[in-house]
Amino acid sequence: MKYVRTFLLALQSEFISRANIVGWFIVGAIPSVILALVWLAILGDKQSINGFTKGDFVLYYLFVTFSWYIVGGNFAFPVGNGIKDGRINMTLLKPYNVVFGLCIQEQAWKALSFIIALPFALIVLYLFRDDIHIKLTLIQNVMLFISLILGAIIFAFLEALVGISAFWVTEMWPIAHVNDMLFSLFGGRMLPLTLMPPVILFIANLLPYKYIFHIPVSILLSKSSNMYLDIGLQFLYICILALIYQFVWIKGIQKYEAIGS
Amino acid sequence: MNNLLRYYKRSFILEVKRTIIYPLSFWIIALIWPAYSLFQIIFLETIYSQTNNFVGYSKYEAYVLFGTFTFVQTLGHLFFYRRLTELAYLIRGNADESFDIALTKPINTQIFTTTGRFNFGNITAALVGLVVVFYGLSQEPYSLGIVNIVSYIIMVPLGILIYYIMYTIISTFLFWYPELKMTENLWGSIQDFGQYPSSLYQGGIGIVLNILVPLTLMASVPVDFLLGKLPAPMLLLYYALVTILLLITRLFWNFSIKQYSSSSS
Amino acid sequence: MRVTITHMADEVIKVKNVKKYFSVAQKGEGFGASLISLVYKKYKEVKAVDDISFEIKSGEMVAFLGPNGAGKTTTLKMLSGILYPSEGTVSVLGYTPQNRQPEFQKQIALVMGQKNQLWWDLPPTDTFLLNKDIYSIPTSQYKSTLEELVDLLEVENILTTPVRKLSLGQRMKCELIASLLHLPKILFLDEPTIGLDLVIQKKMRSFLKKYNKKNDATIILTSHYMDDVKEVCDRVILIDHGHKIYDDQIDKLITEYANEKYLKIEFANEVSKENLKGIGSIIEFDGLQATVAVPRKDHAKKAAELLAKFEIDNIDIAEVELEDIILKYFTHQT
Repeated sequence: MKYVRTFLLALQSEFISRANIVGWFIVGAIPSVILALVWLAILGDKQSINGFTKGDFVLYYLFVTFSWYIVGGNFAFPVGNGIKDGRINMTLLKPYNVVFGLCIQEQAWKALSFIIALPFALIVLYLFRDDIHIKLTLIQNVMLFISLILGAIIFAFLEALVGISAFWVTEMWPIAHVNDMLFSLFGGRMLPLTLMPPVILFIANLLPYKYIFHIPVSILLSKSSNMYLDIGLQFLYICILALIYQFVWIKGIQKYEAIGS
Repeated sequence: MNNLLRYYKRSFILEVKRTIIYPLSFWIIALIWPAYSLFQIIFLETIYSQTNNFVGYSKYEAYVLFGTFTFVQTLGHLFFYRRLTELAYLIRGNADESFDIALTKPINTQIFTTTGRFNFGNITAALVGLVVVFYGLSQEPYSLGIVNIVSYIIMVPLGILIYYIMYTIISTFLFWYPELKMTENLWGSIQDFGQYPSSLYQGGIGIVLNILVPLTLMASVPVDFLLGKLPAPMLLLYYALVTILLLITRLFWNFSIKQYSSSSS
Repeated sequence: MRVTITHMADEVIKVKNVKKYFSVAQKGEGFGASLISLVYKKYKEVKAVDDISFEIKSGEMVAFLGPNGAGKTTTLKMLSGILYPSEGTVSVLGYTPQNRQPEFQKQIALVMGQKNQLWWDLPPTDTFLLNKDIYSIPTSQYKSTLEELVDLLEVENILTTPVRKLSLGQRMKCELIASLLHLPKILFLDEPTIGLDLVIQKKMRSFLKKYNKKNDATIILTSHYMDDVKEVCDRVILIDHGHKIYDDQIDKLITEYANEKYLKIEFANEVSKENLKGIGSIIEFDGLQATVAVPRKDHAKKAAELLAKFEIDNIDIAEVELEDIILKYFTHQT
C-alpha cells in the first residue's frame, strides 16, 4: 500500500507540469524515430536486411520506445545522489525500502508517457499497416508480457546496482553512463542485435542487457528460436542479480556514514 | 567586451585549477567518451555491412561525418554543457549558487549563466573525433581543394554555436516552466539528429532539421562543404542563418527572463 | 500606520506605489484533483507587495521586518533588479534596477544567507579574483580593499582553504568579502546571519556597522533575528501582507508603541508570585528572579514600591523587547 501511495504521489507530482509529461515522452521517442529513419533509409528498396523487413524495423523501434516507457527509466541518479548527500537517511529509519521506493517513483512519468504515446503508436501502425504483420498466438502474447516484466526487473536491478555504487564512489555518474552505453549497444536499443558483427553478438550473449529488450522484441517479431528458454534465462539473470544486489546493499549500508544534508 | 574576456580568462584559469585539484572527473570523462565513440563506430560498421551507400554517403564519408559530429559535440560539451545543465538548478533555486545573485552582477546575465565553466575531459573525445575525420579522409581518394578545406574549417565553429543556441533555447523555457526536469535529457536526445546526413531528413522533418532547428549544421553541413557537396557561396547563407538564430536566442532570453519569479527566501 | 516623510537631497532609494503580483497555480488535495489539474489549472493571484512607498537616504541602515510571506524579500529583490514590479516605480541611485545597467550593478551588492557565489572546490581567493575581473576593480584598489575586509572579518587563515572545507560562519564571511570587494554604495542583505552561531552573528553585525561608517554605505537587510535589527539598523520598515505598516526610527517605535517598561528583579530571598501581582503583569518568574511589566509613566514609582516591599539584590529598568512590540503590533494588540 505504501508503494502504491508512493506511485500515486509521484504521478501527482508529474501532473503539476504538463510540459514535463510531454517532454519525457519526446525524450523517450526521439532516439527510436531517428534510428527507424536510418534503417528505413538503409533498407531502401530492398525487401529485408538479415530477415528484418520494413515493417519489422518500424515495429522494432516502436516497441523499443514503448518498452522504454515500461522497462526503462533512470532512478540510479536519485539513489546515488540520495546516498551521497545523506537524503536517504530519513527513509532508512522507516519501514520502507528506499531503493524500491525510488524505482516506483520513476514509474510515474513512464506511465504518463506511455499513455501519451499510445495515439502516436496507433498512427504509426496505421501508416505502416501494409508492412506490419503481427501474428502472435495467445501463448506468445502471454510470454511477451511476462518477458517484458522480467526485462523490466533486470533493468531495475542494474539501475539499482549502479545507484548504490555511490556507497563507494564519489562520482557515480560515469558508472551510470557506462551502464547506459552498454545497454544501448548490447541491449538492442540502438539496433537489432542480430544485425551486429558476430563478436558483438557473442559479448551480448554474455551480458544481461540482451535480456531486457532483445528477448521481448524477438517474441513480438516471432524471431525467438526458443522463447521458453529465453524467459528461463531472464529468470536466471533476475536471481543472480537479486543475490548480487542484496550482497552489495548490505555491504554498502555497513559502510554508509550518514553524512546528513 | 573587455569585461567578458576577463571573465573568460579568469574562469578558464579557475577551471584548470579545479581540474588539477580534483582530477578524477577529468579522467573519467576523458576515458568514457572515447569509449562511446567506439560504440558509434561499431554502429557505423554495422550500417555499412548492409549497404555501400547511406543516403549518398559512402562508408568513409560517414566516418568523416561521424568524426566531425564527435568533434563538434564534445567541444560543445567542453564549453557549454556544465553551465547550461547547472542553469536548470539555478533557476529552480535548488542549487547552492543563486540565480538572483547572478542577476546583480555587472556582466551579461545570459553569458554569465550559460557559459564560463569548462569540462576539460572532453578534449580526448574531441581528439578522437579529429582522428576519425582524418582516418575517413585517408581511406578514399578525395580531391579536396583549399576552398573545401577552408569552408569546412569556417563551418565547424558554427556547428559548436548551434549546440549552444539549441541548448540555450531549451534551457530558456525554464523561466516559463521552472518545474521542467528533463531539459538535459531533451537536449541529449535532440542532438542525435545532428550526427546523420542532412539528406536523411526529407519533407517536413527536413525543413525543421535543416532550416528551422538546423541541427544538421553540427556535422552534415560542414562535411558537405568539405566533400564538395555544397558550393562555397552557401557559407554566407549559413552564417546568416546562425546569426539570426543567435539573435532569436538573445531576444527569447530577454523576453523570458522577465518571467523569472525567483524562489522564496 | 506611522510614516516619516523625508525630503533630503541625498535619497538613494525611491519606491513609489510599487506592487508585485504572482500568479500561483492552485491544486486541491488528492489524486482526483491532480488529474483535473492536467486539463484545467486554477490560478490565484498573490499580492506579494501591495502598494508600498518609501525613500531611503544615503548611509541609512534599514531593516525590513515582517512575518514570513510579508513581502520583505520580494521588495528587496525589486530594489536589486531581480524582479520586475507589476506596478509602480523603483529608483535606486537614479537607476531603474530592472534595466540592470552595469553602472548600477557596480554600485550594489546582494548577499543571501546560505546561497553561495564562491566556487565550491576552490579557495575563496579565487572567487575574489573572479569578482575583481567582473567588477573591473583596479588591482591596487582590490588589494587594499581585500586586506581591509580580511582584517575586519578576521579570515586571514582560511583564505587558501577550499570553500567546501569551511564552516558556515567562515563561508558567510568570505561571501561578504566577495560581495564587498567593489565597495558597493548599497548593500542588500537577505537573512545574512541565518544559521550562524551567536559569536559569528555578533561579528557580522559589528562588521556591517563599521563598513557603513567607513564607506557611508546604505544597508538594507531582512532578518528574523531581532538582534540584527537592533544592533545594525536605525530604521525599520514593517511589512505585512505586502503593505507597509510602519516606517520610522527603531527608538521611536519603542518609545511610542511600548507603553510599558520591564522591571527585572533579583530577590535576596524567594518570594511568592502572588505578592508580585499587584505591582504589574508578570512576564517571567522563578522565585528568586522575576520580570514584571509596568506602565511606562509609573515605572519609577513601581520600582520604589518593589524596593520598599521586598529585599532586592538587583533591579534593572529595561525597555520592552523589540520583538514583543512587533508581535503585539502584528496581533493588533497595541
